[in-house]
Amino acid sequence: MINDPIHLNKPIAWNGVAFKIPESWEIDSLDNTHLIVSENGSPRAEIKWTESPQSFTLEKHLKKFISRSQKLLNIKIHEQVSPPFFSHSIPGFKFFFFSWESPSSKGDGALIFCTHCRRLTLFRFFFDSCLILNSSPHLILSSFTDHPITDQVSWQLFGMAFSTPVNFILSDYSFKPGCFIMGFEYGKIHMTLSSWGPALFLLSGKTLADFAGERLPELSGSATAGTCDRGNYLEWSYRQGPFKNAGVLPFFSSHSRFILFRICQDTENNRIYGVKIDSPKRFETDLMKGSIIGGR
Amino acid sequence: MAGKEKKWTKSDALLCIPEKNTGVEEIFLDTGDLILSFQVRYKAFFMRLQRILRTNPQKTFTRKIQIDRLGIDVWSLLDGKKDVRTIIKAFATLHRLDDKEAEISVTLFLRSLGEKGLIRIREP
Repeated sequence: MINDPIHLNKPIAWNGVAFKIPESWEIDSLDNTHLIVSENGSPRAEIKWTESPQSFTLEKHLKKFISRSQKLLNIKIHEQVSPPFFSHSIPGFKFFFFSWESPSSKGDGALIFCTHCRRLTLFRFFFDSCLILNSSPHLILSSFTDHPITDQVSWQLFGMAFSTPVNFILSDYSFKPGCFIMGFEYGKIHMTLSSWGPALFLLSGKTLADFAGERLPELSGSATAGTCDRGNYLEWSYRQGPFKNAGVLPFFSSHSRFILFRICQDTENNRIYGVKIDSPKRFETDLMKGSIIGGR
Repeated sequence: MAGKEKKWTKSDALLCIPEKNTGVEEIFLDTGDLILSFQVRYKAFFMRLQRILRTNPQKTFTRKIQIDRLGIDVWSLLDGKKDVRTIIKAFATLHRLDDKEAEISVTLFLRSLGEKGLIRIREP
C-alpha cells in the first residue's frame, strides 16, 4: 500500500525557532524555550532549546544538554547514526540523531546545533512518528530554522502571524480563550500585541472604538483611521506621564511616555488585533508599520 | 477482582460524550442569551437550618445560569452523540477560531457545566 505523501502546511514560529508541521498537529503547550506538539490530544513531538554558554566545547555541551534532558523528560537517549537520506538546506546546522525511550513511550529524535547562533535544540518524536524518509519527523527537521535571515523575527502560532524586529525580546505572554497577548521589550520600548476573538461576537452592539476603550480605558484623544493589509484600523497617539503636560518640561520629559495604539478588525479571520507601543522618546510609528497591523 | 484504575489521557478525554441533564429547562431571552434553569439539592447544613426555621423544609431550590451566544453554540452542540473533539471542531469552524483556542474555551465551558450538574460525561 502506498501512503499519501505528508504535507507540512502549518508553519510554527516561536521565540526564534521555526518549523512546519502537518495541518492536524497543533501546539499543545509552550514556554519560552519549550514546545509540545500534539494531534488530537496525543503528543507527536517535543522541542526544547537552549542558548550555548560563551565558551564551550561542543562535545561537553552536548553531553551536558543530553544529561539534563534525560533527567527533565525522564527518558533514556541512545545515539543513532545519521540517516543516509537526511540533509538540510541551510549550512551551519550540525545534526545528531538519537532514539529515546521512557517507561511508557519511545521514539526517534535529533539534536541540532547551529554554528551561527550557537543554539542547541532537541527534537523528540513520539513512537508512531519514526524518522524514515519523507516521514513527518524527516520533513519537520528539514524545515527547521533557529535564527532569522532578515532583521525581523517571525512569530506564527494559534492563527497569528507577524514579525518583530530582531532586537525585541519576548517579555511576557498569555494565551487565554478569547484573548492572546504577547509583550516584547527592547531597552525602554515596550510593544504589546493582542489578538481577540471571535470578532463578530465581541463587536456585537458596539463599535471598534468602543471595544478599544473598554480594553484600554486610558486611551485619550480622538482616533485617526487608516488602512492596512488586514482592513481598516483606528489609531491613537498620546503622551502619558505622572504629571499632566509635564512632558514638555525637560526635567519631567524622562517620566513621560509616548503611547501609540492601533486596533483593527480582521474580518477574514474573525479576530481583532491590537498593537500598543510604549516608548520614552517618541511615537514609534516605524515600529508600528512592521507590526501585525502595519499600515501602508 | 479490583481492576486497575484507568489512566486518562487527553486523547481519551476528547473522545468522551457530554450529555445534557434532562432536568434542565431552557428559557431564551430577547437579548439572545439563554437561561438554564435546574433544581439543586440543598446542602445538609441548610437542610438542618430549614428544619429549625420552618415546618415544611424544601429539599431543592431552583438555580438559574445565563449563558451568552458563544455558550449557546456549545450548548446546542450537546446532542448526546457528538464527542468533545467533534464539538470543539464544530465550534472552531462556526467562529473561525484556531483549534487550540476553541479547545480551551469549550473544555472550560464543559467543565463548568459539569461542575454545576448541567451535563454528565459519558465514556465512548
